[in-house]
Amino acid sequence: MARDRHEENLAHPMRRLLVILLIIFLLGLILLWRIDNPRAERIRAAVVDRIVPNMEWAMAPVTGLGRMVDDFQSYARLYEQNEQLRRELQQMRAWREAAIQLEQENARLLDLNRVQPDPSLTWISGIVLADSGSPFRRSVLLNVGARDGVEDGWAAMDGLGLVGRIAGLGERTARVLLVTDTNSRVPVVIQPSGQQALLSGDNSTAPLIEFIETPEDIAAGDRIVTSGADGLYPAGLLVGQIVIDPDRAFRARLAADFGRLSFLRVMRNPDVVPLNDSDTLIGPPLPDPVTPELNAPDPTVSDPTPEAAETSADNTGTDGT
Amino acid sequence: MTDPLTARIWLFRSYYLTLCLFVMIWKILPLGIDDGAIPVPNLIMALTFAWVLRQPNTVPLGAIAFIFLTNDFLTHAPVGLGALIMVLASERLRRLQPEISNMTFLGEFGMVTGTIALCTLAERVILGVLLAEQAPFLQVALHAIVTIACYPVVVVISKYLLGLDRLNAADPDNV
Repeated sequence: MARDRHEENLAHPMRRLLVILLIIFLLGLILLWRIDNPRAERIRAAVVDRIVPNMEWAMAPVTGLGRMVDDFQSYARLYEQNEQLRRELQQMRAWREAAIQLEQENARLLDLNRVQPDPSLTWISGIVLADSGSPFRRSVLLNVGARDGVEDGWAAMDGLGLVGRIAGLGERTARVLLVTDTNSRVPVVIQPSGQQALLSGDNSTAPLIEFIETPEDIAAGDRIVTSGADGLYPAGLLVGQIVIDPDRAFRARLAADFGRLSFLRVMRNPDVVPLNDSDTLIGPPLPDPVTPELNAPDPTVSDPTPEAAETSADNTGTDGT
Repeated sequence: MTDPLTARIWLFRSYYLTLCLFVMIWKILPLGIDDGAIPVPNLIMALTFAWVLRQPNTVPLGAIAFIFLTNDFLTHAPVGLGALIMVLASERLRRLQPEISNMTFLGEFGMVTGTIALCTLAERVILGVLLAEQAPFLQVALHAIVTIACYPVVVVISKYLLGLDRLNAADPDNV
């Protein structure tokens, strides 16, 4: 009896229509996500914006509980950690001496050169509300958004090192794509050899370093900082150190503590152009393709006048900014 | 006004939504980033299949679509893909439910194993057709296996903790 009813219920034409409509709707969503990704991501940001901050009351106790469990686990390794900390402290003392000396020297040099520190590098602090919840996607959600002046593409750091960049912005939340995500590529410079390379995430905790010109010049322990070559990340943010994995590939041990991301700094970067259309790129504004043609030296004129040369130089100067 | 049967169905519907939301919130909590080395089971998937096969009425289509669409949005996954696959899979299981309810648990487990494997494969095929980026196959396969492995646990918890029994032919009105 119940089974008859059950089957009858399932075969109901209205229900069947509903299922088909739902499937079409979901297929449409997938196509939208694939074809017009920025728009889909904006929809996602809006949905997340509605849901996550409202769930904070529910999340706070659970987060607290989880952190307590974490803390308890670290409590169990107390002795080991204590030893380690002592060793580190010993090293730090030496470093502190060196740092103080360097600071004094730096102050003297800055005074000699009358250098102003870059005023554009201010930041907005945010608290991590949630992570991506999926082992295949590396991102976290911050409690600051467009309302607080955050913009797409800005870099995010914890106190020490680069964490990622803003990818997806809601009114009250912003998603930070971590440098460990497979979609993340960061142009970096390896110090002290000064080689340019690309830090590309591969879902592991230590991202790969790719496109190194002369690997012989690089040793484990070299510092990695952002190069700023893409105009997206400010130059000189600490990323981490080089490590060499068993396959002889270079990887980065990240300076930021990815195990516990709680407060992040979103670095203000006025040069980032927001991504509004699907066919534009994030980065510094490209030079106008028409301008160089206008100012190109006319082939009929044998020797360009000094004025013409000057204006073209001026123009290239403004294009570059 | 409400007869106990309807009340019970609605009670289990609310259980389903609460449990799914709880699992989703737990997953997105910033409790440290796992590096994917330890595969985590897709609990809401296992829960949905278990309940569809026991009490189809407690897991309405709308709830499945809502939960998995929200999950897609929150976990930064392809929007709508998870929801689409789960709607199709749950509809298939719903249709097969009368036959499966006469099977032993082993038979049911086999059906669910097949369904989860198919879901994983379907996701990869669709992403492949769309030329979208995919997670490494080994990791995805491990997650599917862990999800399958936790299915009996989900069933035991649903049965003994929540009292969700199989809809069986012997007492038809025991919904």
